[in-house]
Amino acid sequence: MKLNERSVAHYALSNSPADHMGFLRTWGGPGTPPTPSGTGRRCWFVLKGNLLFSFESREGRAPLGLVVLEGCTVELAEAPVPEEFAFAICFDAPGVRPHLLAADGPAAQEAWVKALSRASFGYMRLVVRELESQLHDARQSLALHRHSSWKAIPSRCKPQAPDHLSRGLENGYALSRDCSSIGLAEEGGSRPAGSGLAECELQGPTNLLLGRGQSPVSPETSCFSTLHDWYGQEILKLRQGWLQRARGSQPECEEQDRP
Amino acid sequence: MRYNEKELQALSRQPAELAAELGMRGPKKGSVVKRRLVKLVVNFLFYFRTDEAEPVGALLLEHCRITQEEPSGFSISFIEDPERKYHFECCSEEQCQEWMGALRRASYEFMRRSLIFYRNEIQKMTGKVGMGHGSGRGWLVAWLTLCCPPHRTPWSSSAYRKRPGSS
Repeated sequence: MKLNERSVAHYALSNSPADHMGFLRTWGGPGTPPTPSGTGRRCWFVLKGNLLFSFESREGRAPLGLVVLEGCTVELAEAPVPEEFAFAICFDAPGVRPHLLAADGPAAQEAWVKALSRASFGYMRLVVRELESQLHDARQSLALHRHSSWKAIPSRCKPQAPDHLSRGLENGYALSRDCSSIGLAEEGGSRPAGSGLAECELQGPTNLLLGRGQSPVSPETSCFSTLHDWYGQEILKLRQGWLQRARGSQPECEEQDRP
Repeated sequence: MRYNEKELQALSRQPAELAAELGMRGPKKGSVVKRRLVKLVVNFLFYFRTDEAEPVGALLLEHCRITQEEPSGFSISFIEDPERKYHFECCSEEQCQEWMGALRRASYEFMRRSLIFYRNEIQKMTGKVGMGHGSGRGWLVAWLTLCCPPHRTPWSSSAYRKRPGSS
C-alpha cells in the first residue's frame, strides 16, 4: 500500500506543534523476533496529533518509524529489561503485534500513556465539539442576560458546561480506541440530550457553518427561539443517532471493559 | 520510514466520513484517470481499486492544499512540493464542493486551530479558562488536571492495569 511518505516525513519535521516528545526504548525494527527480548533500542519519539514518529536521535532528520494512533489502546506492560517502565500500543486488528515501548521512569511513563491515550482524531473532535457547545451556551446565556425579559433559563446554562466537558474528556481518554467508543461509554443514558454532542455524527455546528462559509460560532442572532430551533434540530438528530448506537452496540461495550 | 500496513488497512475499514467512486489521477507524469473508491477516514484519504478490499494507497491530509480544478474536480497537493498534485474528478459540482469541504476539515491541524479558536472565544466571553497559550492539547491537559478530581481520572481507575510486579 502506498503512502505519501515524503509529505508525512515533511510533516514530522515541520514546525507544527508536537504534543509530546522524549526518549523511549523500543523493541520494534526490521527482523526483530515476535517476542521482544534484549535491551531494545533507545529512540527519540515525537507525538504530533494522532501520529507517533520515532527518530534515531533528537537531531534526526528522517523519521525511522510511524504509528497511527487510531483504533488502538495503550496499556501498561512488562519490558524484557528490568527497571524499565514499559507500555504497549495495542491494535485490535488481526496479525498486528503491539508496539512495546519503555520510558526511563514512572513519571515519563505516565505522561506518555496519557498523551498517547488521547491522541486519536475522534477524541480531538469530541473536545472541539464540547468547546463549541460551551461557547454556544455562553453566548446564549449572554443573550438571555441582555434580554432580561426572558425569564426561562435553558437547562444547559453556562455553569453546567465544565462538568459536561470533564465527563466527556474522561470518557475520551479512558477509551482511546476510536470515536465510536466514546458514545458507548455513556451507556448509562443519564446524560441530557445536549451532551449528545459527544457523539460522532459528523455534522457539528462547526462543520455545518464552516461548510457554508459562515462564522463557526453561531447564527448571528440573539433571538432565543431562532437559536433554539437552530441547535434543537441538531440535538434531536444527535440524540436519535446516539440512542440507536447505544442499542446496537452493547456487546462491543463489554469488550471494552476487559482488562 | 517504517509503518505497519496492517494498521493502516485496519484504519481504512473504519467508518468513513465520506466515500465515493471518483476519477483519480496520480501526480506522476503521464498518469491517466482511473476509477477509484475514495474513502475519507479521520485525517487519511484511502483509495481502492473498485474490486479490491485493501486500499491501493493512502494520503495523510496534513499540510495539504485542496484546490478546485475544472471541470467539477479538485486536487490535493502538499506544501513540500505544491506542483505534485493528486487529481480527482467528481460527478457534479455539488459533489466536488462536498469533498473539498470535508477534506479541508479533515486535518488534525485544522482541529487544533478550531480548538484554539473556541478556547479564545470562550475566554473572551466569560473571562474564564485563561490557562496557558500552548498548542492546544497542552492547555487541555492542564485544564483536565484541574477539572477532574484525581480519584476520577482513568489513570488511577481500573481501566488501566497495574504495572506487573509493582506493589
